[in-house]
Amino acid sequence: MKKISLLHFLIGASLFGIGGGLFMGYLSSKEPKVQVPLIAPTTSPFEFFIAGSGIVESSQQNTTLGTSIAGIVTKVHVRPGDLIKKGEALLTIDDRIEKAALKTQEANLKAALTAVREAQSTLKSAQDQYSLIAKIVDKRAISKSDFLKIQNDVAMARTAVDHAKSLSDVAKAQVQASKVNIALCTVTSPLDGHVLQVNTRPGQYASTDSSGSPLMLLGPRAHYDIRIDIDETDAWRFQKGAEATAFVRGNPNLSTKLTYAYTEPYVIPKQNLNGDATEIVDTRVLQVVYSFDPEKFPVYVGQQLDVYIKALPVAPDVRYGGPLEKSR
Amino acid sequence: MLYVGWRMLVGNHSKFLGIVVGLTFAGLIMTQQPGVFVGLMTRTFGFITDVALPDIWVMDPEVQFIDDNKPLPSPTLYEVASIEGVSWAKPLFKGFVTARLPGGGFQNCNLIGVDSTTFIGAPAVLLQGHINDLHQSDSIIVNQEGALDKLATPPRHPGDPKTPLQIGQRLELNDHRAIVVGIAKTSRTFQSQPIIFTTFERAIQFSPPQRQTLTFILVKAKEGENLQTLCDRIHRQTGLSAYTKEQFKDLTIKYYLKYTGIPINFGISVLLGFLVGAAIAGQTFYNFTLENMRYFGVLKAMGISNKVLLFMIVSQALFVAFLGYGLGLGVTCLCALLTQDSMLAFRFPYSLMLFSLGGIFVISAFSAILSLRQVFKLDPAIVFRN
Repeated sequence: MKKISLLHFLIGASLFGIGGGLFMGYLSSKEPKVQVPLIAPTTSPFEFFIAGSGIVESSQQNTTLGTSIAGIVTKVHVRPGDLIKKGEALLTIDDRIEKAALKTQEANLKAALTAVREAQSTLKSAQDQYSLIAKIVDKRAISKSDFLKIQNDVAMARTAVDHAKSLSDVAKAQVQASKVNIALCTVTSPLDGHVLQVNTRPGQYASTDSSGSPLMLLGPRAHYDIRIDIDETDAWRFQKGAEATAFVRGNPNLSTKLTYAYTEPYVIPKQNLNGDATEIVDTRVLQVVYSFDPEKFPVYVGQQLDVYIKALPVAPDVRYGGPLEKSR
Repeated sequence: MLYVGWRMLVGNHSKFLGIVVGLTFAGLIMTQQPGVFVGLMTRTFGFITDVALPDIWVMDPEVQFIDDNKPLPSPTLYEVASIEGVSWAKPLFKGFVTARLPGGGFQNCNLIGVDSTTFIGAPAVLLQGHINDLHQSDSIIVNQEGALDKLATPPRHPGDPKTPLQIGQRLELNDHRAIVVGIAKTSRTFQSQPIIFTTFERAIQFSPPQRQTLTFILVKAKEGENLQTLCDRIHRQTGLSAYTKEQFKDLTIKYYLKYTGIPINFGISVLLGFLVGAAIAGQTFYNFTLENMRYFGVLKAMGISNKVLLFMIVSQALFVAFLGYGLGLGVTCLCALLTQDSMLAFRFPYSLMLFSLGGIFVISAFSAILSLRQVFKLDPAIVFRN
């Protein structure tokens, strides 16, 4: 009896062991959980295409505002996002120096005008003298030299008047120049559009040097452009005017068809957005510009979009050997 | 006749147990050791298993295995994304970073940067936190093993348990501030360093400056696309290496098989187990037959044919093989259960089960053949000699 129970135990234990083995096999063959992407990745609507990332910019690129007068900013009239009309005041630069100069010029003008009047009265007195002696019938009553002197006095007085007048014109022009300078202290918008960025605040020095960050970034709003980098190895596949679609990152359902605008014919080094100064550029890219209507597509200038451009298929016999197998 | 064989086998208690124990050990070694070996090899590509969504991995042609980081220039991403048959292509950064712990210690970590919009390549299972939290500034997700041990705060008094890394805690990655927003469950990796997940751009900020940063390109094929054809096309058009998930796993395993001593050591131990098991079981079974030779002689004298005797011995051998195999497998299961979720790698696919079953049967067959030879040679007259 005892032997049989041991046997039973052994048989039971082995069956149990085999069951355990099967279970372990099941555990090991289970595939790991597949990640569900937070946001579905965008896919190309075309069969043959060039994929790229594009940066939204205002049409005709963005305008970096400059000033022709350097000085301290006293007032900024607009805020980022404001719609602006051509000629609208954007910022004012301290104009006290220009105003003081205007006062000086005005005083100069006044003095110049006075000088004109003075010269004119001198001329009048000379002319009076001359008309007196001109009326004398007997020429012997006056010496020849006196007569000539009076006659010359008139001519000299007339020249003095001309001189004073031209000086007053100079003073007038200087007044005008000062007024222009004062006007230049208020920087106005060169275009209809909106303000993208304001980099200056009252009290800051606005320089005429344009190498730093611009005072303001302005852009027209009629339509936006999107600048797409195409790697030089793919540049040959791009056809001018090819269809293109842009997708908003973060929402693959938001997309818009793009209209071809122009191609920058000069291939430039690829700029990386991570801004690492140690980065060495080793590829060059062709920049292609498409445009779209900003009213229908909720994106902002400067935003990155996923762009797919319809392109030529890669022909057989290019790159790394023989013809490619046909897909599907 | 079967019953007679049965009684013969079970009749001698200790002999029977001896055979079974011998086969049990053989079975144990032949399941447990390869299991650990397979588990260890699986760990080498643990990360590839975890990133299950993409079909194809694109990388520098010189890459030999998963931890071999040879980044590509960044425009390559769009070059690959532009290839016919590609549904999408996303960047993946994989590198190393030194984390400075709150306590002041240093720990070298694996740093993974995933696409910042879709988070493709991020862990599928988060034990704490939400993947969306990666949108927060300076945020990182740490794997569970790292959080519990290597990145945990050391105890204030020696001997106390470590305090695991918590959500909201701050780490210093290469002098950058990083905030833990999630704890992820990931497969263990071969090097078992903590894994830190973050977005691609942030990973580049965290890692030491380098010229190129695009370690892998993860590609999803369009539906119905033949993966091998697409891999070839990517390779021909860009000159980069493109592997399907399985191929990349094979590549990684092959690297480890070729350049580390692991497979040889494990192979030797499996072979030794096999030989020892075979020796014990064969010898015991042979002895058992020899000792029962008398009974076989009686049976032969009674006119039982060799065929029936063969049947008897084979069924005996099969039975002990079954017992040894089952018990060995049971002990292996117990080992696996006890060491579950620990540092010990163990994986047991069905194929391994078949392998060890085959091994056990080879041993039993070997000992049965030895015994059969004796039985067939046996002269029935032996019974009457003594």
